[in-house]
Amino acid sequence: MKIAYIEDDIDARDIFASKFKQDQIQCDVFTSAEESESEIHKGNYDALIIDIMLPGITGVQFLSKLRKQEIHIPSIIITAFNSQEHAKDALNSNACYLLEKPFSYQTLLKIVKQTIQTPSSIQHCVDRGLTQLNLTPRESEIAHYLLKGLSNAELANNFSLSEKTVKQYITQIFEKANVSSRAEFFSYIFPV
Amino acid sequence: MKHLEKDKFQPSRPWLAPLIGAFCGVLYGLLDFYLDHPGTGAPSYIHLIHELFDVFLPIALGIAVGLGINLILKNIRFNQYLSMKNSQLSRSVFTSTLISYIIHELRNPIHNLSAALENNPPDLTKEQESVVHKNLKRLESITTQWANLSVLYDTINPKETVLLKEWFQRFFNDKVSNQLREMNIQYSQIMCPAEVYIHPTLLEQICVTLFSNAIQELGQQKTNRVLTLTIDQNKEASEFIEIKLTNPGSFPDEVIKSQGKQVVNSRKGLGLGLVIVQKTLTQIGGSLQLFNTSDSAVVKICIPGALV
Repeated sequence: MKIAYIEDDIDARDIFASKFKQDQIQCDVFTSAEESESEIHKGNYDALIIDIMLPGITGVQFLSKLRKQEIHIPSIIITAFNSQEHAKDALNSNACYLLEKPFSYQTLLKIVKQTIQTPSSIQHCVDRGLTQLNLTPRESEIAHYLLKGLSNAELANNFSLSEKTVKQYITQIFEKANVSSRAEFFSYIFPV
Repeated sequence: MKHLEKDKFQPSRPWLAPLIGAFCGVLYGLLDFYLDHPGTGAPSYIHLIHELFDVFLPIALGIAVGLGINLILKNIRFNQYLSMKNSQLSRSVFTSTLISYIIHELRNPIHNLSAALENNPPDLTKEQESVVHKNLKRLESITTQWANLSVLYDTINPKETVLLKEWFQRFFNDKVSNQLREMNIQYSQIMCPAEVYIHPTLLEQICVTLFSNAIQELGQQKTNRVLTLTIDQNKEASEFIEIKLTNPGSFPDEVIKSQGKQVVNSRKGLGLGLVIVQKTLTQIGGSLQLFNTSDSAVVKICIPGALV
């Protein structure tokens, strides 16, 4: 499990980050949205924890920006404000959860697990599943279309390749995912 | 926020009524000129109407002028009311934004403190200790940081007089009785009629902490869940009223010894709640004391006050 914790108030953040590490969860910490921006890509984290009040752009603005870039990583917004306005903003920026400070590590852990287990978007399932396979850009493209249900012939036509080459690509993808059929590959990407 | 605009409430064509009035005046002038001119030979009923107009028009003019003045005054009053409402709204928006920011400033250090002290660690690491001290300082600095704003608001008298009997009755019904019922705790109180000099909000904060601690402690006991509240004049210093909360059990020695020190770990001393209580009481000239009797743990607070 890999998460990013973006919070400028470093005391609690660092304590919680070390507790995440003790629980075998990789937690990368960032102090501002700008600092984390270059590190967050499609599907490279299981969840994001973002504080609303960040230096520079706010957490909500940052999350909206990520969503515009088609990055659908499930996100938990944390805040020390207690206004409806912020709750509304968080909801409108597609956050999965709004957590008010102060909260305990156990509460945060529970919500992180809950958020990861019930992902809010199919797109994130696909992004996260494919990122974990370390596919080449070409393999990743083919895998995306494979998940759309295209046959080998259609894939070959779409990418201007021979069916044999497509089959080779698919075999490589399946090997990396440790599966042997399309059905198993679907089940790997969308675990039930 | 969109302010109320007085333009919305003004008539759409304010020139229309005076114009009609002026037109009627010209008509009457023409009629007058026509009748006064010799040789016009106007019928007698026209003369009769003219005489009637001569009688009633000054009266109508007076009424119209009166109504006009009344309307102008009403308009002025209405504009004053709107401008007052506008400033009230602006003030309330400013206040709620300000409160929201102050809460934000308070919650962050409290969040850091609770993270450092989570699970009540028996020994704090150096990092945890530094987090605790740093954030306690942050909390303390909030008072000075926002103190200048107090001139904008009505000041709260921290030593306001509170009649304890009435206040406790309300506090007990609102905040305590349900918790006691849920935890199946037997409660009794012995109360001398007294008044204390403390702001009700501060008193509420103090009592909420004391009762919550006691109820939490009693909740861990399987039997003998009894809580007693005693309010009386302090024997040593009559200018103080003492409030004692007694429950079976005892405080650890470390807690008793650590009183007066700012230790925020309930195993080694006062927890954060009691530190805040102690600080509040010290600021109004009162005190907090924790001690054990042969069979009970007692929390005693002294607040400046008198019997009534």
